[in-house]
Amino acid sequence: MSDKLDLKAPLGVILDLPGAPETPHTVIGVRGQYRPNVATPIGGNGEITLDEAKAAIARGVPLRLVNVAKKDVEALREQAAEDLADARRGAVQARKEDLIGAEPSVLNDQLEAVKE
Amino acid sequence: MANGYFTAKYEQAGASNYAPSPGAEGITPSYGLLRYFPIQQAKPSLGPDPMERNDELRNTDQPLLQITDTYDPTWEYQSRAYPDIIGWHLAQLLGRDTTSGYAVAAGAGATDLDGTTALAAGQFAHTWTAPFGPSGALPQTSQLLWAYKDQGAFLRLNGAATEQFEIDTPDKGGVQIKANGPGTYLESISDPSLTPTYESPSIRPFVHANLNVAFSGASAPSSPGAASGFNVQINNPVTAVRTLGVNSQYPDRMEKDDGPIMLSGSIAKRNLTKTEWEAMRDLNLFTITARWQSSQFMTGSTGAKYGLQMTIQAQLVGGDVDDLDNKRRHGSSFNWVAVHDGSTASAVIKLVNKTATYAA
Repeated sequence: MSDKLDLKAPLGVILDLPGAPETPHTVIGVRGQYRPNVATPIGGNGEITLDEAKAAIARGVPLRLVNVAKKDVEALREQAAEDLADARRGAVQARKEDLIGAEPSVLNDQLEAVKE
Repeated sequence: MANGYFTAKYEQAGASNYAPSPGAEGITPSYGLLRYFPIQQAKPSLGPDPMERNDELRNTDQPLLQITDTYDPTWEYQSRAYPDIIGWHLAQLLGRDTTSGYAVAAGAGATDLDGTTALAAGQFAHTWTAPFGPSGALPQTSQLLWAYKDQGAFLRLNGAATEQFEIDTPDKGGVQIKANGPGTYLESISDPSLTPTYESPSIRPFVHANLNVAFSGASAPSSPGAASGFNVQINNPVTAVRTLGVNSQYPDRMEKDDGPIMLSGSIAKRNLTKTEWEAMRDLNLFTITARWQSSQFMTGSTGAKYGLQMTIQAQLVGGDVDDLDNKRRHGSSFNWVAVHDGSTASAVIKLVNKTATYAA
């Protein structure tokens, strides 16, 4: 990852929420899962586009565009796919719990972010 | 979209000065990092106490118009015990000061709760050791935000301290944490336009099956009954006060109150045993180790796991036994309290998760 963004090079998005645990996160209103320390590639099949990422960032969503090394893209895609699959499984499991209070609506938002 | 969200950020003395610095009306401290919480429920209470003037002789036989006088805000919180979330609460309660009771270990040499599995990159062991921090007269406080988004109401509480914290481990539904306490200044603000962000639903909360409670030490009951329930209460005496020369209807200071932070709780036993009852009678001092060891690996499918452990120097200070009646099993429950015998810390709490630090 580089500090200076090269829009022609492969791009990814990281969670820009300092102090957040190094786990995948759901950013409400944005498809996908995002980590603070590992980039999620964009522009691929099922991934958010560069325009979507820019629009989300413009409205204050805690994401940041970063360059990723070309050689890392496939591995990052695999990680992102695994995070999505884990999140789907986790959401299905969470639905089996007796959700109370604010939990059902938050879970719905999370499901929306990771649905296929 | 969800109809709201709840956030918190620690209040501190400076951008890189993590000493507590409670906010209040007209007092804006620096802030730590913003966190979003997957709450079940949380609410602020304004605690208004208007001035009644019906004791004044005005020759009107009707209640007089009340006028605003004082407000004493409080807050309540409830969520499941997610490994990274519970650390935020422990730091708010027991301190973030790495020179006073709080430490973070990482990398080679640091292990998860089994004591042998080394932590990998991005995995951390947080330890709070009594006497807990923060040092000085001020408790750690936070600025809390309740965003009732679809109502267009955004309530922000400054100077919020945790007075009581509870960890309960019901049979199902996940370990529950509850917190409450006073604050200084509750205000209505405009939409801060935040985007709630939560850990993936793949991160599991601690659950009943994770918990093991063991007794050890020379004075521990030699034949304890089978434990079936265990809860923890942490009481942090704090008080919101009003000082002179401050033109506010709210408290302007949050201070530690008298007495130390107290850990206590109860343990339910399926079967009554003589040695436990006698340990209660004699106030035996022994070690209770409560360990919530998650089944979830922090990274991939091998290595260290999430975990929370409390090592408590305990005395059983009360309890109850089932009525003797026509039953084939009689249980019991005991109330424990963490105490200091002059040499061993009354409680050590270790949390293993993926948050780098709660100091920042």
